[in-house]
Amino acid sequence: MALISFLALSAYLVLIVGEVSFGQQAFFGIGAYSAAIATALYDLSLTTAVIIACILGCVVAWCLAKLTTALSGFYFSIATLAFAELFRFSMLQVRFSVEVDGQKTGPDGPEGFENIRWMFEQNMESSDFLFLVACVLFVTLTCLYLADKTPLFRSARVVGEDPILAKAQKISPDFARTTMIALSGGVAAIGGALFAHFSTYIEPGMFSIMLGVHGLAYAVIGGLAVPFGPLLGVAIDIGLLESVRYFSSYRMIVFGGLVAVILIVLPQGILNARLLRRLHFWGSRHEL
Amino acid sequence: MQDYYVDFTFGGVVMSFELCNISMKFGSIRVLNELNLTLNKGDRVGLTGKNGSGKSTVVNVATGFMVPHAGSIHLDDKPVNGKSPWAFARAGIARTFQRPRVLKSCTLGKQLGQHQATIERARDILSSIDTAPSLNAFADEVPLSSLRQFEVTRALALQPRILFLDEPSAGLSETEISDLIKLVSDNLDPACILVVVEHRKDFISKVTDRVLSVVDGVAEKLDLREFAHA
Repeated sequence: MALISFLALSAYLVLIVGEVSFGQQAFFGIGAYSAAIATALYDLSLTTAVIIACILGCVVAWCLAKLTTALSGFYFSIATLAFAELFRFSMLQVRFSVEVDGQKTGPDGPEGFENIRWMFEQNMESSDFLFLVACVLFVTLTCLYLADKTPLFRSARVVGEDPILAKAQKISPDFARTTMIALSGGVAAIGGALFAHFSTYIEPGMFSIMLGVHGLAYAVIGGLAVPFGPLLGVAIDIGLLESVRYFSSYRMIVFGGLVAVILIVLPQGILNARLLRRLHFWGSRHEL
Repeated sequence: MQDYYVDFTFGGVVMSFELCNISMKFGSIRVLNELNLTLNKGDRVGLTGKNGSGKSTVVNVATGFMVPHAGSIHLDDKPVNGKSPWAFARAGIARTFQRPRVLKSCTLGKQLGQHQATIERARDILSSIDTAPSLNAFADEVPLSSLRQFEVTRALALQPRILFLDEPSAGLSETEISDLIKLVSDNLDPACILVVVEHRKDFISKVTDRVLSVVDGVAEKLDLREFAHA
């Protein structure tokens, strides 16, 4: 749940600048492969690996944003989907597994990337690793909350809703868009890096379009008013639908229906600006 | 490459802004026909004319939202043709729109500006208006007059060197127009150039000191006194 939250947050960053990306799973995958290579093949620390993954995710996302400058709306969405599939199919061809301590490790095309053993080498329990993931998620969320008050994020929200108004307010839509997409790549890559070390095995099939669609749906359900919105979306799907036994068999049906209903009833998502204002009034009344 | 970094940075008061031989056509219809307009420091100009005469097109061209088919634009004698609208805005050219452009997904208080200094200035201006909209309100919860005040305030908070107001009094009552005139008069830098596109003679005669009429795609000078009493 915490791992997929990074993907939801990355989709959120693209959504607030007014674009819909079906390709965030590619940055998740880039993060997963690059961090796994860093720790398993080059024996780097997890911190270094996550930083490398984040930078690589940002750089690739920035390149994608620059290449798709002229595209928007539906065409941008298709371009991101094509990029994600290009990444997935490319990883099916990439093979440079090597022997480390007598075990084959490294990307091996469709066979996947085995023996990402950082967690075992550190004698770390899964629960400890998940706590680490939760800490990184908390830091990321705090950074996004602080960033939400910066001129960049304020500009991105104006660009996302009204690019003409943005231009009249001295905002360069291209700059805001490129920067937000680059940031989204970095956030997704952090999630991917942690995912690879938690699962200890990755393969290209894990980064299919359904992963990206889920990340996007979480952000849409949760709402774009605050960075916590996408996490609410994750909590509803994974925390509620998947964990409650009654729902688990029908999860995808219920989830798909939920997305449709929310898009009709609450187009701004559950945590929208009007609800937040109501909560704020309610809170201040109770303080009195 | 898109001009991320504006090469004509604004450094003080705009001394002159010129539209030279501007021609603009939409399909086969020629809207502006070698129009010339020279604005100098502190000018207050009213732009009037019939519906469809090209008044808003002049504003769109002068603020970079439309690229003219012919002619040139000079800011302090530097050509600025083909620059992005945001580059014009960064050079100190601000504008409002015929229909107020406000975001629907957030309260008015969240869309005063991007930088803290601009937001503070906008808050200061709004706090001096008795009929100012609540900053906790959404755009669909306040009347048109408040949205107009809000949009003009937001433009003034950018500390423009040239301000274009596109039909700011459309749909407003006499009292609301008076409030808007007071808002502009009280908060506009004397050195700032003001261009008001308007049909309302009372608004133009109170805010501007010369009037131009756009007829057949060219700007003709009108006598302000005759215009006000016509």
